[in-house]
Amino acid sequence: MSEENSTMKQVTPDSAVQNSANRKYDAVIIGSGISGAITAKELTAKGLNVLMLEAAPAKDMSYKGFKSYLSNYYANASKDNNSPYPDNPNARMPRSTDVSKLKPGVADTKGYMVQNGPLALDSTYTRVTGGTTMHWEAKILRMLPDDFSIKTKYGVGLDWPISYDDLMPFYQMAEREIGVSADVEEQGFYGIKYEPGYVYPMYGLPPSYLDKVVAQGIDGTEFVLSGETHTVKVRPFPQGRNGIPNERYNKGQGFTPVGALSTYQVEHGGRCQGNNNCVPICPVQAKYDARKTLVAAAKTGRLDFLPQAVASKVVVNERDNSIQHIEFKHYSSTSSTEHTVHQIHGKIFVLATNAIENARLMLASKLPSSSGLIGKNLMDHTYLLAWGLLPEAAGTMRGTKCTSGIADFRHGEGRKSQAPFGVDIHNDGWGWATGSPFADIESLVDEENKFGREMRQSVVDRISNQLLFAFMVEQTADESNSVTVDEEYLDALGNQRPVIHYQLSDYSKAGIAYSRHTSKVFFQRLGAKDFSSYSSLDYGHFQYEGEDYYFRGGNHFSGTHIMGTCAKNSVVDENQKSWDHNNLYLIGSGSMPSIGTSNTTLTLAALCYKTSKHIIEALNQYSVGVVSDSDYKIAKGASNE
Amino acid sequence: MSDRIINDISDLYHMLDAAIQLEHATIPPYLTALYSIHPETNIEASAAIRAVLVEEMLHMTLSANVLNAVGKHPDLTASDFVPDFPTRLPDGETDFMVSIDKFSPETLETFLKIERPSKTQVEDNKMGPRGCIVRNNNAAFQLKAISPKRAQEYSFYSIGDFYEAIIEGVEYLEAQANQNGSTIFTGDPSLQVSSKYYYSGGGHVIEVTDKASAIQALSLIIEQGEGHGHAIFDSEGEISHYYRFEQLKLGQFYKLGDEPSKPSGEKFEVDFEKVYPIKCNPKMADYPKDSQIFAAAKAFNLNYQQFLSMVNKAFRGEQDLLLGAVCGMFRLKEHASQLIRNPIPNEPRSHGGPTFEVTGQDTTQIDDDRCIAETV
Amino acid sequence: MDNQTYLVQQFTELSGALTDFNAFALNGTGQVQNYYDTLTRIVGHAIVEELLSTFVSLYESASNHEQFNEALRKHILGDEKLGPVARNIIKLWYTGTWYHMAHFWREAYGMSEDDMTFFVNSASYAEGLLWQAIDANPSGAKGPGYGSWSSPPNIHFDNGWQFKPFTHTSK
Repeated sequence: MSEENSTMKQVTPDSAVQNSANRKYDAVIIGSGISGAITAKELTAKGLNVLMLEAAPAKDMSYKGFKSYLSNYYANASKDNNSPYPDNPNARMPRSTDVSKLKPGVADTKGYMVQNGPLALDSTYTRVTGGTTMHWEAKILRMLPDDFSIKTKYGVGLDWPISYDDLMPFYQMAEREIGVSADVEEQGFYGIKYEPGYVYPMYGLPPSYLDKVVAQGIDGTEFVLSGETHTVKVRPFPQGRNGIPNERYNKGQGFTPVGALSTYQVEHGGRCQGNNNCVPICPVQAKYDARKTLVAAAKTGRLDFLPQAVASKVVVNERDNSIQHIEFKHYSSTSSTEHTVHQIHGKIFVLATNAIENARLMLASKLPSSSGLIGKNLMDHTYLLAWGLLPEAAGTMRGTKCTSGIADFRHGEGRKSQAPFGVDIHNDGWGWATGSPFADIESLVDEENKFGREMRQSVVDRISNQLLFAFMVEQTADESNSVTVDEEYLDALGNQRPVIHYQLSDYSKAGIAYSRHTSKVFFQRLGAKDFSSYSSLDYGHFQYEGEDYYFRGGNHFSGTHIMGTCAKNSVVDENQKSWDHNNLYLIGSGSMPSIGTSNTTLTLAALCYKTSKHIIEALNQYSVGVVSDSDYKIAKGASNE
Repeated sequence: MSDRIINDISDLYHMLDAAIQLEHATIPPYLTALYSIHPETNIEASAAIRAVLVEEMLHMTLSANVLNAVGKHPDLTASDFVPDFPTRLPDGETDFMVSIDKFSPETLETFLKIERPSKTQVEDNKMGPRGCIVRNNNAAFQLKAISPKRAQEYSFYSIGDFYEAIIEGVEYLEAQANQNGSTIFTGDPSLQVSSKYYYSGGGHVIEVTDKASAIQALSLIIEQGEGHGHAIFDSEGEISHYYRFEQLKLGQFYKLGDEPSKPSGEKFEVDFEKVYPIKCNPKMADYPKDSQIFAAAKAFNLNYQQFLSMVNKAFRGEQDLLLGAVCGMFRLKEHASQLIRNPIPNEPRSHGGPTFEVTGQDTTQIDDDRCIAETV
Repeated sequence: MDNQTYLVQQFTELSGALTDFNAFALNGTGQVQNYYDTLTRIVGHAIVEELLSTFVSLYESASNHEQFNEALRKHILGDEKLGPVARNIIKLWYTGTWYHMAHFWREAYGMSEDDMTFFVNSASYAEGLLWQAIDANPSGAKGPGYGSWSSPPNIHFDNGWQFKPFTHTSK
């Protein structure tokens, strides 16, 4: 790849402002994560001119910059999910290491996100070019059809204004862009369906040896819940990382995986090598991240990219309530707060930061809202961890973070009374729960006084035998869970920081408690020793029916600008267009009224394809200089299958 | 004697066998130089060697595809497949030695010679086969790609002439076959290594089924290695091996539009001190018999032989073994790195290295309860 | 052999006894000198030399591995001064991390400003012996290849440390 192709053209703030004054931009997109990148790629492919503002620097677009993330990670004593990404006071990000147990009634302001409680939420996102896809795990599940109508079917949460069928063609497009490795035969369960003859772009990743050991022990286990029998089967997950291309993809045309980026004169292979480090950074870039889409958008020559530009205010035109401009602060160095303030104009504006930052920006802009729902209905997946030691070495700590799991508690009548959940078998052992494997070494040496052969053997027994189940429990919309802003809490550039108000409902807790119950059955069947313990000192601690638990955030922030059927019950319509401002789109997982038991990225990516199609049609009515339809079809490809 | 080098199908088999051997022969020197570099240092140099190495592996696979397409299997387990280093390669009128050695200014010079854009002889050679000359040290060359099979007293003027001869042979033999209503592309198409099992940043593998795809594959080898003429970048903006290496000598990247020897891209440092001092062309005999390093070097050679056997089987129909071979390669890399970081007992200033002394027996006992190009 | 080379060699042997990885495996990480330098920088030459000379005398006087291990536990790991240093050496090798010394030890024997918890260098993380012990790659480095995770791990002790192998000098 030539240098010209591998880096994106960047514009200066002055030229962006100048261009925008000259009405160059059809769309101004805030944020370079997966939502913004997909929208930019779709719009530019159609001949539209796009300006993208990114709060972070864009150093990682070069190989050296990417390598510096890796070196940061190797050298960082903490290996949390934002450890490779440098602290930037001008666009801070939450870190799980900032979270500690809350004192009742006292807001915790240590981290970027102010934790107002009652429970502390340790979820994070990444404010770098490419957004949180830089550290995401890339398990990439479709939602179940039932998940779109949980209010109607189970009397909980909120319904979507659209159905699985409406989203199905866009799921395909998202799976193409991300490059999903999975086998249809293994994924069509509990109502998930595909267009006839559909295959994923690449074959499914092989399961880990650990998966096989677990499957042998627990496949066929039966649980009766609300009168229905749930039979357990360990299944592989679809993965947003490169595997073996499926020659039957796209009616036999096959699929060409997108390899590593920012590799000027570096020929990196694109296939997953099992580095066991999807989170926080895939060292070989086999895992999809949004920079792959961004670079494709930039190749059209119609994307102007402006890094180090933090959107600070959305300003409304009083006359028709449309957005007049967006104000942003541009800084020249992360080591100084010195910045300049600018205004940018466009035909339409797309907020594609993430569920927290979208809401934060809208609230900080003090815009009136018909529904009053901006920032409310904050959702995340709630994780319960259960960990044990298998009786034999299972090869833990190898493979991608997670290759298989259990889907058999995601569906059914039980959803009326308790939250459903998916289950992950973690190939990285107890890491998430205990800080393994480093914590194991510390304890073997300092507490168990091991050395020599005994030490080496103990390392094997303590680490290679580890098994951790992560139960991903659905959280339904609840207006009291929210993000707000407060003049009292500002970042280095004077922007208001997000304040999180978070609690778990009894519905969630009942699901968590049931998931713990299943873990005990699994450990028993596997002959594993259960090491799970949930200290009351843990920041995620809660009690339910007399038992102790703690939860972890799933980094799946959503719901803060939900979509619905009218301006009274929602912030955006089914195309993620603001009900209140006819040239404003709030895109991403913030638009989701429910999140089911699927990691949110695939669904939010599918939504962005739907939104892009709508924007292109809307802008077409202005009759701007768009390219021919045939070019567009080539660009968007997957929709024609 | 005919001017043409390839006159029948057995000549073509011989030349393609030789091509596979030749492509492979560059792998031990590149691999050793790459792993001699201290981790986390010399990022640009590592990336350049790695990129070339990955493409050499692709070239080996492409040559194997051509050979399979014309109905013969490669043999990576032949006793003379891996040369005894140092080995010689032709460079126009002269020749040069290729060694297993650490990354150094001298090694870099050798790499530049390996990848130097083809010197083609002026067409005044009426006596011998096309593209060949007589050398007085002809016997010193080990690789089969040096001499035409039927005229062992001659040797190719350059590696470029060797590949030109193959392309010419393919065209000639296929034209002859077509006259009789047949084709030389009689190989089993299912033996073609496809992108299903092989892909990397080093370019896409080409499945060979006819003359056009054969020439496409062979041309890709020539193009990636030497570039077209003296062009630094090819039409897709990819830099050729020679100029890739030259950047390391000059400490600066080329940009599109640059003139040879005058790069104008980003500058960088190459630190030849941040390299382990590998003994040049190490042999098993250099390691004390009862030392840990001896055992490790021996194990490496055994593993390397198993790796070649696995690739060999993959080229003979068991394509899914390529996945395992890739994993085997990753492990070889770790073993090589360990050797390279160990001083040789009684010779503390020299470090060990893999010797690549492979006997060529087909090791059927493949460690196949465990698991090419993406590994380095 | 100069004194420095001798000390590094003894450090390697002591590390082998503590971790059960032989000198070839330890050298293979490329970290011997870095770890030795880190150790001497933080706990000081005097204590390191005391540790190594204690090790050498225990080694010389023991007649079998069992006896040697017993002496090692009593006189090095179980020593109030040398024990914490030896345990740090084990953790250093297994993780690539220097762990800051306990408060008590710092009060009594040294207060190096460098004594905090850190990775010795950006490569040391990937060279932690724990990964070799379990036949896994360090998370984020040395990826073992597509699909390798599907096979059982190949756990072995072939490169374990040996007490007085018959050719001690050839190591």
